[in-house]
Amino acid sequence: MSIAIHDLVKTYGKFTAVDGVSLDVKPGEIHGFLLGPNGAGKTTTLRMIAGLLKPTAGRIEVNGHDVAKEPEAAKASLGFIPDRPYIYEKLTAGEFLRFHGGLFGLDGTGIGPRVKEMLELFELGRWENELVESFSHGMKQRLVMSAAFLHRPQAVVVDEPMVGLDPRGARLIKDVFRKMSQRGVGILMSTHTLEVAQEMCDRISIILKGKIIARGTVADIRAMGDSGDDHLTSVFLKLTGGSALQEIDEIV
Amino acid sequence: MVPAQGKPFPYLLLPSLLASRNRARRRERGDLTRGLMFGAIGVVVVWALFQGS
Repeated sequence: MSIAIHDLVKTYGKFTAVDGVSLDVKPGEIHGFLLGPNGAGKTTTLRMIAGLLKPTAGRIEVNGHDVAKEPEAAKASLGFIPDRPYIYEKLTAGEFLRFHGGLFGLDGTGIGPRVKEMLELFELGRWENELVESFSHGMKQRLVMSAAFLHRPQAVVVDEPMVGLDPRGARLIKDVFRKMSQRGVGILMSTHTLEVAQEMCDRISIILKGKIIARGTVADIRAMGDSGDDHLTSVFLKLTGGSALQEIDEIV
Repeated sequence: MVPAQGKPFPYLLLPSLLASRNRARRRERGDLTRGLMFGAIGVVVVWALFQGS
């Protein structure tokens, strides 16, 4: 398995953010992690997989490496793309990628061509020597993605990849993710956008209040809706709708 | 033996060094004023430290 999570729990005081989540992502699979209302436990789960948060209970394996017992090996084989791109603004795109590659042990001779290759792949080639502070949000997002794929990880965790991207950027990212999955990279992708999940994901897990409430292929999830609607939206609302409607009531 | 998380990792200073170099290469309006102001503050601080010692 690229990513395997067993009975993952995370509590903050009395609040349980993640409550016994188990899931697996196979090599070459794009697994969608769909959300209920905010606070469903998505970012907490993804951060625990990336080794940024310590689980209260449960076990996480990345490419067969236990994140708690072999954190360096697990992180070396994982690419993590957060929802907001935090980058050194005063570095150029090339400097940022070379620095990032250095963290993963890519040496001076091999790193140059690889940096160029990734910048070209994400259509940032002509911006290699420009400071990141001059980049748009979408360009920063693409730069973070190129950094995540730089060290050729076999598993990638992506938090809301399409936020802030224009249609062309979104298309590019979808194509890159598909290409990477064809090369055997397992991708766990959180998204609010059902169309993205529908178009890209091999399997989907829906999380609500820290628990997985539904899982399966797009066809499996559609079948849960029993409304005859071909779209995922109605199923998603059926599964998470109580809370969503309650939220609307509270706001109105 | 120093525990893994306690080991110094000076590589992480690299972005700060590169950023300083990039900043110095790209002059912006007001650099001279800022330089003079912070330079003067530095001189005052050093002077105060020596007076107190």
